[in-house]
Amino acid sequence: MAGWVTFWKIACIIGFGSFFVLALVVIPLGAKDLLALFRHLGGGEDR
Amino acid sequence: MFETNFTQIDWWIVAVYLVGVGILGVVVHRYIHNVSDYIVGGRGSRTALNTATFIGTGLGLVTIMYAAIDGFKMGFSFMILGLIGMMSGLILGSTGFVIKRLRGLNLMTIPEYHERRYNRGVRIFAGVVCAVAGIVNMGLFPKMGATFITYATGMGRNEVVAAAEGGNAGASDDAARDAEAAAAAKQKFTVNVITSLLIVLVLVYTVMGGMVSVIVTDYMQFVILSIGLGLGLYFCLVHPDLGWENMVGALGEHRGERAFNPFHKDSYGWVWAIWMAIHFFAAAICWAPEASRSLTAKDTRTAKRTFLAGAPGQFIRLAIPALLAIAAFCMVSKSVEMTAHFFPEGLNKDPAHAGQALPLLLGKIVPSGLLGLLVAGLMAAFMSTHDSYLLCWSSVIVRDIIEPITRYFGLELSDSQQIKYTRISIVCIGVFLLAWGIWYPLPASVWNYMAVTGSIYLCGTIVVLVGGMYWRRASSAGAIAALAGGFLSAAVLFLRQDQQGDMTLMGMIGLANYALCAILFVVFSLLMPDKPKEAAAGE
Repeated sequence: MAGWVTFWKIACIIGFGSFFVLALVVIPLGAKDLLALFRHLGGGEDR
Repeated sequence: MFETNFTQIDWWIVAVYLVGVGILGVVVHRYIHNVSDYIVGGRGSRTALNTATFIGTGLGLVTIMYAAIDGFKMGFSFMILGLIGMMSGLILGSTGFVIKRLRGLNLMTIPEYHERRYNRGVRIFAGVVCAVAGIVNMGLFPKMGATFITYATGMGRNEVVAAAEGGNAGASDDAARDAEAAAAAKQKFTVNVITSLLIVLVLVYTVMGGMVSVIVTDYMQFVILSIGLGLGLYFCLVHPDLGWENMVGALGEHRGERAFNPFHKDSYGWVWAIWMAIHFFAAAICWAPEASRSLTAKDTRTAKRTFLAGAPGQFIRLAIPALLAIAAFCMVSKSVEMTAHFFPEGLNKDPAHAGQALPLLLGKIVPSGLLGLLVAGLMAAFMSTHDSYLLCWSSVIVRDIIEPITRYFGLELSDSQQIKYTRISIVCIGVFLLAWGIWYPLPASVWNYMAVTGSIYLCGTIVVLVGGMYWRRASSAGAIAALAGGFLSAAVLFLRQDQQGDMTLMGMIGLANYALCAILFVVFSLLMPDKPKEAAAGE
């Protein structure tokens, strides 16, 4: 059982860690993309 | 026992956030110019935004609730699902298997592929299967949302208080029971009204802004929920009575190795895990609300990167609620009163009321103010899953059922007509949801209900999609046979509750259904091949 406890501990550290790093990157870049999407859609009939 | 830190301030935070997101969702409707804008957001979503909304769609309140229910019962073993999800995301994102070709075809819905590869009949049939399975699949969403709202906000204590007041006043047992029943009915009514209002709010902005509203609100939800889940995790890990060591200790003491080893004979077992690996892989490719993110992506490269970058999201959407549920188990195991409520037969037996554990834990460990932010994020999660699902299934109804049929009769639907019919379909599905959510009882394993209803569509579609792309002899007859084979999964819904809780049995039925669809596809394709397109055209 000790092996499984260690396994889940490592999985959680890697999984949660990579997600929160991803969130730090995606939140500001996503806002930038959102503005780009509005510009793209604002072009409406020209597209 | 059911008191939480949820106060008036938290209600205000929730209300302001929900109204703000609702208004934002409605305002963006001015960006809708044609049906492509409405259904796939003009295919203008770049990697970061697409990743955020991809994770946001998958990270719904119902996901959090079913992960918490199974995490509360199965412990760390449930996290195997998160690992499987992450692996499927990494494999698809790095290879571009199927998703790259789907995006390259400029589709708006998945069944649309079937008309290009097979014929119109396959597309319509796939559309019907997809819509039926999808709508039944989301049937439990309102009930799960209502359970969360009840116990996170402390409304769960009302009936207990009312009963106690009845008893204190010196009234008879009958009067106390009447007071309890009246308070329970009032509480149920309040929760149903709140849940209904949330669904109406989702309906309004999804009807107005389509995929653009979905993208904007899903992005907002991703931001709030990332912060909220981070806070929940933090308060859980630093709490003096909880923390990693206490959680592991409580699980180990009361539930033993099965809570850590997913392949243990009393846990999920190998058969179930293999079924889930195939199921997750199929869902990532074909399950319309999430797979549609490969269709909204700006280009094929963005579609691949979305799946790759979204892989950790596949892990945390199941693992964080499961870990919080394990913390809830730890909290329950230290209280005699709570143990009696959640584990009437003992801590090593199956729990009762498992759906109440996570919201109750959050309501108790997260301080007022921050709790409002967390609940707002989770209610937004409730809404963002609904909006994606509503739009997907209604798009399928219009684009893959109504439009091909009208085209068969020589009538072309204009963009504005397609948008109008999609909006009508969204409202109809919303009305169905409210009705279904009220009378269908909560099954023993919500996850199994979701997996089974999803299988109706996934078993056949994954075979037809992959076979169509990578096997030259795949035929329309084979596709119809495989899609029809998926309905075998529906039989599971009529099994007894204890049979539905048997993981090996569920896994065997699930795997058998995938195998049956593959066999039907191959046999019917070989027996009834399609006429060559050139020859057919020349006839």
